[in-house]
Amino acid sequence: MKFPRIILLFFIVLPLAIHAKPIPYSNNSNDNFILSGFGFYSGSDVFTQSRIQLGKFVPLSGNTEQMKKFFNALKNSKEKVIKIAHYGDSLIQGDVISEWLREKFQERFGGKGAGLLQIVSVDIKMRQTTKHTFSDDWDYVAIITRNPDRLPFGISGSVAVPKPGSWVKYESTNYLSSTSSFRIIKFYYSNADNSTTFQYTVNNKTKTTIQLKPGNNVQELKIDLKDQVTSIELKFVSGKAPYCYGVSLESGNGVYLDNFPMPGNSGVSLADIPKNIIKDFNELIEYNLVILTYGANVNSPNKNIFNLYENKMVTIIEEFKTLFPNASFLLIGVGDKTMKRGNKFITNPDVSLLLEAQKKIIEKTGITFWNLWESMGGENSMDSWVNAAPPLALKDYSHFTQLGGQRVSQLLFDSIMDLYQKMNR
Amino acid sequence: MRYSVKILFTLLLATTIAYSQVNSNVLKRQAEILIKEGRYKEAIDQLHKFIAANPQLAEGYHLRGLCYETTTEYQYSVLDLRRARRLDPSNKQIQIDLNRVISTWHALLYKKIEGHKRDIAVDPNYAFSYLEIGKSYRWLEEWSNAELWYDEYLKRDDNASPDEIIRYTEILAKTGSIVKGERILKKYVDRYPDDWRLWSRYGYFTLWLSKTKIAEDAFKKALSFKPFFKEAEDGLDQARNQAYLLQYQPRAYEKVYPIDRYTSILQRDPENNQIRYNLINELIAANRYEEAYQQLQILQTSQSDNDEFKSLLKTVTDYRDSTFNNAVTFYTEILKKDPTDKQAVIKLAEAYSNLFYFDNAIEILSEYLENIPEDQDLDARFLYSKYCAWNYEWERSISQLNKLLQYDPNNLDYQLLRGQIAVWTVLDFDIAEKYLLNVVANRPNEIHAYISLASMYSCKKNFPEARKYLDIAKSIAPDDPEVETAESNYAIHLSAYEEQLVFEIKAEAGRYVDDGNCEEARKKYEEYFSKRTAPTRDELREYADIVACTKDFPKAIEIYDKLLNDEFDYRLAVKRARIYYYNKDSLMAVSELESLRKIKPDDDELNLFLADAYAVTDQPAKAEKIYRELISKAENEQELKDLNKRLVFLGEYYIRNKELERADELFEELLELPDNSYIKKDIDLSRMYLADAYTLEGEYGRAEDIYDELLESTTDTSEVRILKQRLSWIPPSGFSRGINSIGNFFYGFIPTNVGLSPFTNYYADNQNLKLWSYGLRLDAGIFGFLGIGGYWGRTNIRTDLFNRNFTTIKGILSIYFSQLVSLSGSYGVLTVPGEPNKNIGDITFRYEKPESFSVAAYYENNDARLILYSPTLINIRYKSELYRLTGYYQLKDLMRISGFYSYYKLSDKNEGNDFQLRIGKKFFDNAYFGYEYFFSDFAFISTYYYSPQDFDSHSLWCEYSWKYGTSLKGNFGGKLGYVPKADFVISEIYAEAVYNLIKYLNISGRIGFSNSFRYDAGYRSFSASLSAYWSLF
Repeated sequence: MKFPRIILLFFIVLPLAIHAKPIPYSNNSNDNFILSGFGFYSGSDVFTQSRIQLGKFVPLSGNTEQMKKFFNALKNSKEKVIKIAHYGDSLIQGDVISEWLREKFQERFGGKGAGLLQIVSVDIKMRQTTKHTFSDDWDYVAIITRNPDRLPFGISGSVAVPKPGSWVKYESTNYLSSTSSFRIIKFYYSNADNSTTFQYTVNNKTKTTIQLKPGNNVQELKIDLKDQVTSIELKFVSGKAPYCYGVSLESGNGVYLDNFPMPGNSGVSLADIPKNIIKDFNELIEYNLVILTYGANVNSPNKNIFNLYENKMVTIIEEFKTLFPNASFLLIGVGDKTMKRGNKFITNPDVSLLLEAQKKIIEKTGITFWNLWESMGGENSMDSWVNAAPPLALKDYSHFTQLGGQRVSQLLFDSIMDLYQKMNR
Repeated sequence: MRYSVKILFTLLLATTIAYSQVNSNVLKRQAEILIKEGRYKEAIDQLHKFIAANPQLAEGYHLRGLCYETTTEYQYSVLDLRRARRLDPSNKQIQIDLNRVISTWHALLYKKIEGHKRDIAVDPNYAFSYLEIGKSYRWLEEWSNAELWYDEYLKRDDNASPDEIIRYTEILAKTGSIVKGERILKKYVDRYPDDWRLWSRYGYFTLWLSKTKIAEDAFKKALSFKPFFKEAEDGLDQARNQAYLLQYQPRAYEKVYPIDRYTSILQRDPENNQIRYNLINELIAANRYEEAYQQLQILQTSQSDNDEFKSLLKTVTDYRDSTFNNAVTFYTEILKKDPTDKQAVIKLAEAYSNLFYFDNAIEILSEYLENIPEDQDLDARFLYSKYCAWNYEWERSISQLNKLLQYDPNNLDYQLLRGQIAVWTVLDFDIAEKYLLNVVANRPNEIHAYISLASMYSCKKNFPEARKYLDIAKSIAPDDPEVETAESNYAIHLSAYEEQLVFEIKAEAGRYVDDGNCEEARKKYEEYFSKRTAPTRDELREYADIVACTKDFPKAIEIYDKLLNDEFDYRLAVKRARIYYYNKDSLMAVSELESLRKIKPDDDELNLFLADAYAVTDQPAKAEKIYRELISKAENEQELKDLNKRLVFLGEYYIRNKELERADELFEELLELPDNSYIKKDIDLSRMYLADAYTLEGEYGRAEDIYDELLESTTDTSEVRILKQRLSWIPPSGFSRGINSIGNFFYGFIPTNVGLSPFTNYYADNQNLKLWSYGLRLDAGIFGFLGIGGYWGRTNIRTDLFNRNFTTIKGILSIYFSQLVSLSGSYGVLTVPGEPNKNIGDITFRYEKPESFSVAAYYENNDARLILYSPTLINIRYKSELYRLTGYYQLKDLMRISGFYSYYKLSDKNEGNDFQLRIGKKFFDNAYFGYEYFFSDFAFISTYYYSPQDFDSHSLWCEYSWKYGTSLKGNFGGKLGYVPKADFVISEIYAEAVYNLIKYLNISGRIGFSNSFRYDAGYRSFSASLSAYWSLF
C-alpha cells in the first residue's frame, strides 16, 4: 500500500495558519498602514545620514533695492495678507520648489494654506500639498493648451468654464504643515450674472448654496469657514456659466505663495494674460512679490533667439511692473540645463548665453536676480544632482525631484532672508 | 646615335621657341600698328593670338584692355586690365589705366541705372529695367544692390532664363546669401531639371550649407547629363571629401577655395575653433555675411568672451543690420507709395524677420492681409504664419495655417510648419505625425521634418522610431547643430524614460498595496530600491509602512527608529508607537503614545491609538475616558460606529479585569443605542463572556439573567444549544438554590435539551447496487457537558439478485469539554437476517470552531458492506475498521483548505487508504473555486469490493453558497477532474440545503451525482439524503 505524496504538507500547513484574533482597528483612512503617495515624483525631504549637501549660497543680485517693497510688506505679515506669485515653467510643476518656499515663509511670517489653485490642473498627480480633483466636464484652456475660442486667461494663465454639475474639490494633505488645513477660501471668477449659482461643501458634509456677483470684471467670493478645515468642494449648480480662475486656500494674515506653473513655456506667453484681468486680480489680491522662474525652454539653433527672448521678457516685465505696482520682482535664472555629448551630460552651452540674456533683462528692467545655475554648483552640476543619493533631480537632467526642489527653495529662501536681514539692520 | 637624337631634339625645341617668340612679337607689333591706325577690332583679334601665345605677359592684356576701352566694351577692358595688373603689379601705368576705365565705366553704369529707374517710373512692371539695373550693379560690384534689383526683376519675370539664374547665383555667392541661393536654385532645378549648370550650382550652394548629401546628389545629377562637367566633378569630389588643390590658376568653380577647405576640415573636426575663425574671415572677405553669421552662431556658445569673436560678430551684425535696415528703408519707401505692393510687403517682413523684429514683420503682413480675401496671397499668409510661430504666437500661427491647408492641403511647406508647431508645443501629435511623414515621403532630404519627427517620437517614447529619423537627419547633415540638439534631446528623453520605468516599479508596489498584497508590494519596493542611489525619507517611510503591513513589525520598527534618529517627526513617532502595539509590545506603545500626547494633546488619531493601547494593557478606564471624549467629537457616523465597536471590545477588557459591573453597565448602555445592529452580535458574544465571568465569580443570578436574555434574542440553534448548556452549568441560586439543594443530584439528570433527528439516505450506481437507509436518532443533554442518546437505523442493500437488510441499534454518549472540543461515541448491535448479530461502534474526537476551522479524528468498527458499498460484497460478511482524520481551515474568508485521510483495515487482511486535499479561493461573493487532489490505494485487489491500486485524480472544484431569507440556506457545487493513470475524466455535482421550517425544526437535504472510474470503466453513482433535527426543548 502506498501513501499519498503530499500528505505531510497538509498537516503542517494547517496548524501554522491558525492565529489569534487581533484587536480591530477603525476604517479611518489615516489608520491604514499605507499612506498615499505613489506618484511619479518621490521624496519630500533629505534622509540626512551624512550625505553631501549639494548647492551653495548665492546672494540676490541686480537691483536689490526694489525688494524693499516686499520686505516692508513682510514686516506687517501679522496684520495683513502678503501674496507671492510664483510663475515658472515645468521646474515648478507639482508645486515643486514653491511648496517648500511657502512652508518656510509661513513658518517664519505666518499664514496657513496652499494659496491660489487653478480650477483644472494638469499636475494634480505630482502635487502633494493638495489633493486636487475635479469633474472632467469643465471647458478648460490655459497658456499651455490650445485656446481656439480665445477665452481670457486668469492670473495663473488658465481659465475653466463649468457646465451644470461641474465640480472641483481641494483637500489639504499632511505632507507639509503649512498646507495641512485652511480656514478661508477665496473664489475668483468673472462673467457671472444674477442666475449663477454655486454650492460649496466643507469637509464633505456642510453644503451651502450661493449666488455669484454679476459683472465682467474679476470678482472674489470670500468665505470664512470659521474653523480650520481640510476639504472644500465647489459645484456649479445653474445659471450663466462664469469664467472660473481659481480658489485660494488661506487662513487669515500671513504669507501665501501661489504656484503658477506653465510647463514648456519660456515666460513670453505671460503676455497672453489679458492686462485688464491682471489689473482686476491685483486690485483684489495685491501681490507683494512676483517670482519668475523661466529659461529652460528658450532654445533655438539661432542664438539670436536670446536677444528676442531678452526683448520680449523686458517688455513683459515692464508691463507687469505697471500691473503690479506694489510688488517686487525676482527673476530666478536658468538652472544647469544639460545636453548629452558623447556619454556625458554636460552643461548646455546655451546656458551661458541665456544667463547673459537674463542679466541684461535684469539690467534693463531694474529687478532682482537669483542665479540658480551658480547656486546649483555651476558647470555640469546637474549631473551631481541627478546622481545624488537620494537623487535631487530626475534623469531627464532638467527637473528637480521634490527633494531637490526642497534644496533649491532652501537656498533661495536663505538668499532672500539674507537680503531681508541686511536691509533691516 | 642616341646622342645625335638628343641634339636634334634640342635644336628643334630651341627653334620652335625662337619661332614662337618671333611670331608673337610679330603679332604684337601688328597689333600696335593697327592701334595706331585706329583699327581696334582688328588689333583685338591680333592680341587674342598674342595672349594665347603669351598668357604670362601683362602687356598683351594691357593693350587689349586699352582697345576695349576705346570700343567702349568696358567690362572686358576692366577684366583685361585687372589681369594685367595681377601679372605685373609694379606697373603703375596699368593701375592708372584701370582706374580711368573703371571711373569712366562706372559713371556710365550709374547713368544707365538712372535711365532705367526713369523707365521704371513710367512702367513699374517692366521687368527688363530691373534686370538691367541689377546687371549694372553687378558690373559695379555692388553686390547687395545687384541682389536687390535682381530680386525685383525676378518678382516681375517668373520666366527668367537659366543663364540669368546662373548670373544671379554668382551675385548671391558674393553677398553670402547662400540660404537664399539654395532656395532659388531648388526652384529652378525643379523647373529646368535637365540643366546641368543649375544642378551643379545647386550642389555648391547646398555644399556650402553643409548639406553634403543633397550636394552630392545634385552634382551626380549634373554629371548624369554632362558626364565630364568639370565644375560638377570638382564639386562632387568636395562633397565626398575628396577635394584636391589645382596647381594652375583655376577658373571659378574649379578652384578649391579656402572657404571650401575650411568647411571640409570643420566637417571632420567641428571643434576646431581656429579653423572656424579662418572660415568666418574668408566668408566675410567673400561678402558671404549670412554664412559668416551662421558660423558665429556656432562659436557663440563657447567664444562669446573672445575678443576676436566679438569683433567679427560686430562686423557681421553691423553688416547684416545695415543691409536689412537698408532693405527696411527701401521697402518702406516703396510701400509708402503703394501699400498694396505684395512683394514689397514680403521683402519688408523678411528684412524685419532677419533683424528678429518679428512683431514688426507680423504687423506688416497682418495689415496687408487684412484686406485680402482668405484664399489669395497664400505665400504672404504662410510667411505671416511662420513669423507668428517664431514669435511664440502659436494660436495665431495655427489658425492661419489651418486656413492655408484648407486652400492648399497638399502644400508641403504648410504641412511642415504645422507639424513643427505641434512638436514644439507638444500638442496635437497626431497632426504632427500625419504631416511630417507626408513631408519626408515627398521631400526625402527635408532635414527639419526628420528632426521634428525624431523629437516627436522621443516625446511619445517611441525610441526606435525617433532613432530612425535622427539617423536619417544625421546622414543628411551630420554637423547641423539642430541635429546635435535633437540627438541630445533624444538621449535625455531616453534617460528619463528609463527612470520612469524604475518609478513604475514603485507604482506597481503601490498597486499591490491597494490590492492588500503587501508581500508582493515589499518585493517590488525592494526591487525599486536596488535601482536607486538611495531612498528618500518619504520612500523609507512608505517602505516601513509596507513592511509593517507584512507583519514584519521588528523590521518596521527598525526603519522607523532609523528615520526618527535622523530627524524627529511627530507623525512617524505615532506610527512607530502603533507598530509597537501591533508587535504586542503594548507597554512600549503606551509609554511612547503618552510622551507624544504631551506634544499634541488634541491629536485625535494619537488619542485613539493610546486608548487602544490602554485597553490591552488592562487600563480600560483610561481607554474608556478617551473613547468617550472622541465620541463627543465624532464628525460622522462611521467614526461613531468605530468608536462604539471599540467600546464593545473594551467591555471584554473590563471583564478580563474582573470589573464585571462596569462591563455590564457598558453593554447595557450600548444596547440602548438606537440602531445598534452593527454591534449587536459583538455585544451578545461579549455578554455571554460576561455571563460566564459572573458564573465563575459565583454570581449565578446575573449570569442566568444574561443567558436568558441572550436566549430570548437568538434563533440560531447552535447558539441556543450553547446557551442552554451554559445555563445547565449554573448551579441553582437564590430561591431555586434552596429548593434544589435537596435534590441537586436528581437535578443533574434532567436533560437541558432534547433533540430528535429522523433521516433517510439513498444510493445507487451503474453496477447494479441500490442502498436505502432510514432511521431515527435521539439526543439529550445532561449535566451541561454530557449528551446521551440512541440510534435506530435500517439499511437495505440490493442488487438484481440479492437483497439484504441491516438494522442498527446503538447508544450514544457525548462529552463536551468546551465549546470547541468534544468527544462522542456510540456502541450497539447490527442485525442482519440470517446472520449472527454483530457488535459495532464508533468514536469521534472533534476540535471545531464553526466556519473557521475544524479537525476531527474518527474510528468506526462496522460491517464492510455498510462502508464499502459493493454489489459483490452483499453476501460476504467482512469486518471493517475505519480510521479517519478530517479537517478544514478557512483563511480570512478568502481561502479554504480541507481534506481527509482514511485508513481501512478489513478482515480479509486487506488494507487501504484514501486521501483528499482541497485548496480553494473565494473569487466571488459566496463562490469558491479550487483544486482537489485525490488518492486511493489498497494492499491488494479484492474481487468483492472496489480496491484500487495507486489511483489518483486531479480535479477543479467549485462551490456556491446561497441563502434565502433567514430560514433557507444551501450549497451547490461540483468538480471536474482527470485520472492520469486511466486517462479518464471524472465529474461530480451536488446540491444541499437546510430549511428552518419552524423554530427548533430544521430540515436538511442533499442530492448528488458523480461520474468516476472503476474496474477499467466509468462508474456513475447517484445519492440523496433527507434529515430533520427537532429540538424538543
